[in-house]
Amino acid sequence: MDRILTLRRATFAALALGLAASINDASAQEPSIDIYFGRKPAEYKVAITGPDRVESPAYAFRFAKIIPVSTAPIDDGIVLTRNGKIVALGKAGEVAIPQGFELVDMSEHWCVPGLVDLHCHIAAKGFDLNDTVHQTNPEMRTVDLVTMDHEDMRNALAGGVTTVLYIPGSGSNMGGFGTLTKTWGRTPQEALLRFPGCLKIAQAGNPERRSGDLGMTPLGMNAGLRETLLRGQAYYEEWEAFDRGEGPKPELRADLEYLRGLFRHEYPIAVHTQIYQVVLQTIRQLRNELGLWTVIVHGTFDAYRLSEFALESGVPICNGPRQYHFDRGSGWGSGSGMEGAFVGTANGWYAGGMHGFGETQRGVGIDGIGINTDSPVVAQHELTLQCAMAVRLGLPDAVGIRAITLNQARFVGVADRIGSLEVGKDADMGIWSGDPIDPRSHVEMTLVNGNIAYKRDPLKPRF
Amino acid sequence: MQRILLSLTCATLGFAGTLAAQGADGSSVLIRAGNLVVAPNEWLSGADARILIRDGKVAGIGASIPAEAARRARQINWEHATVAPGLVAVHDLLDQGADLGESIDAFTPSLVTADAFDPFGEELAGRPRTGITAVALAPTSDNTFGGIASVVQPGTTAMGGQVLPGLGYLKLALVRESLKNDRFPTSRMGAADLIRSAFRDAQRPLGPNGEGLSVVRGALEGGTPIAIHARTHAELTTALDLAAEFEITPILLEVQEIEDKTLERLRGSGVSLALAPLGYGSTEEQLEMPARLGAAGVRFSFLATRGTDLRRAAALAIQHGLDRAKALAAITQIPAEQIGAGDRIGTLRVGRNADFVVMNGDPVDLSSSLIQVWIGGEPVHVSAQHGQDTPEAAR
Repeated sequence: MDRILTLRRATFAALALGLAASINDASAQEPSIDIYFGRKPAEYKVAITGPDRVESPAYAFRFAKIIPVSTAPIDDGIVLTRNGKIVALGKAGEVAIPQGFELVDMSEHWCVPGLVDLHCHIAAKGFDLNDTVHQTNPEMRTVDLVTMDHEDMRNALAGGVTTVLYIPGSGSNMGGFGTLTKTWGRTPQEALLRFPGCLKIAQAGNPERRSGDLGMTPLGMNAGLRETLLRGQAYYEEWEAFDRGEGPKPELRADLEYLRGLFRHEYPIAVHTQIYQVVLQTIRQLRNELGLWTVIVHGTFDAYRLSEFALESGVPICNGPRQYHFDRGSGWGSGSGMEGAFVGTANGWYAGGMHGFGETQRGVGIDGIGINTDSPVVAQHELTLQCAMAVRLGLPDAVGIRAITLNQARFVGVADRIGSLEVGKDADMGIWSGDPIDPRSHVEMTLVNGNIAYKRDPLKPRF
Repeated sequence: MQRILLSLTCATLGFAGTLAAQGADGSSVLIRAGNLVVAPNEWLSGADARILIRDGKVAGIGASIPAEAARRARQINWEHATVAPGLVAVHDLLDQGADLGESIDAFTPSLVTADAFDPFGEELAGRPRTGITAVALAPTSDNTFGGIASVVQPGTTAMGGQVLPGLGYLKLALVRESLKNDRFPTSRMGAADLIRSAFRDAQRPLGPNGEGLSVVRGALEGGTPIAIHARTHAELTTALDLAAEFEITPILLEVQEIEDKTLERLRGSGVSLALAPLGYGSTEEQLEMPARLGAAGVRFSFLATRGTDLRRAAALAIQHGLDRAKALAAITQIPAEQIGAGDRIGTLRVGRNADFVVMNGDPVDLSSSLIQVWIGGEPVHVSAQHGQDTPEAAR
């Protein structure tokens, strides 16, 4: 129902043409998906962000190839970085290297943006973020847990991952609030990008329980979520009325304060949701019924059947940790020759298809798909391997690199800081031995906020 | 509750627009039938048996259809067939029972079955094959207060079904399966106490976590119908006591036995019934109950455990003395009214949804078979027996 019924027919041919053009010059194209961000507030009133400026040396890197993602690749290029930012970028010979910049010759290596993962549970030591006594935990926050100095984070850096959305587990419907953090910093405060990075919600499967409160079935879980969110909305409205001078100052409620920011659209909900019926409930309830900025950070099994509904609703997909689905005959529909196939879920979302519906579903396209690890479900440093699997199963190569960089930064509203290599953006860079989506490539060096956060030891390589 | 209902309504409005848009390409359809059943006691035949459909709704019937509108419409000729309102199931689990029972707590009035609705379910998709065009998807009877039964329809395309916004009822249960050994209530006495306490508490100022009670309050104030699952004479008596005490007129679900004294209580009370489905294994008493109720003027419908039960129940009730119009009403108009949808579905008056069956005879005659079933002005089922062709009339 909703808009699923009003399918606009789109042909693969048209999609393919659009793709070819957008890969060559993405900036010239209309976005493939109009992501719903709600009303973008003029300022954060609830969320906090990290420092605008981070000390870092002045470096002049020379690379064999630069993939800025937002613009066309550059062969034999230069990147200048200083005090946490990219200050210049271009072809060698066209970018002047000023006095005081230390030349770092990586002229046999590729440079890509630091990778982004919106489904991470390892920005603190130990998988210690499932509080499962209550079904909804709007007062819980991962920001208190973040620590930089441990092996999982070093592994993340060694895999080229520089920003993660560190979220509570899926043991309860509303696990708490996630933190957008860099994977390196002298302190967690320096590494912070934004808190809350998101609200974490998990539906079906994992949070089902029989422990004393509701949540044995979708009926109870969705009702509990609605009740908690509506309490948050009422609290948000009290504050809005106060801010307009139309009501008394509300009492500060620790359990509802972060929901206030959610209803202000300062940050999205990252939803662990999978299987098409459940994803349908997710989009209907959170996006369409409550008008909340919603990002799917799971989306596996046959959920890609809803690609057009997600597209129409402006809900982007960060697909993972599973990148494939054993279709039992309905996935790509009769007559497609794909019955019973081993289907790439990211490509299912991206390209759309028949999906057993008898009518072509449009996909979310080049701007609507991301890929995650759900680390430690898949190791954080294997994000590129996840991407390689997605590409192996149909996602175009050029979409793959966007899916683990710029797209995810956009989904959570921090693309002004990270996700692509542009002058003025954070100097978060992965320096690779070759194409990062080629599983044979490794990371030689990783920069976070302009600081060398990881350097491969050729005698004792981590990977 | 207002907040919950409001948000649910907003969520489904998009769909309502979609439904309207199904036939909104400017085309309207004029069907000529042998008989047009506008309502169970309102049959049109001959030249008057015409229905005009536009934008998924009934735009005109009989002689009132303007000649110009009739001429411009696409013409379908079913002059040897009967067009009647689609059947409505007042209580259905659509084989989703595992998703519809939060038995951990007996008091869950704020649960809404639309939240667990599977629009692609096979059971739902199969309902039109038995003439059913709308069902109330009920919570299970595991809880005393189970939640809101949402009204859903099978899909108009292979894309799945839809929720009709703002309709449905609050389901309560007094039956044995609502009583559990590991939580309150464990007895009918406890269940009555829980209902009575909740009804009283709902009329007082609500605390900060009063979502459940606010739903109960909405129902007590008449905004949402109340249905009580009461199978036996004892359960029925408790339900009627509560109804009298709190001045409500619930639907009593799956009633299997009614004593004469109870029939007297029901007469004129406004309480309506949804009878257990009649079958070839039903007792004489059960088979004769519809005629007794009909004679006493008590409104009732039949509930379905399987889709085919509706027509079979109506036919068996007629065989045992029930008036034909009341039998048809019991599977169309009455269940539509019971689920709060009487102004949308259940009859084919102008403005109602164009949900109907096309049959080669009287719908309550078991020897008649379905030719087609339409929902929202679109065919959703075409019988293999009668072929794929829709007989287009010559201009």
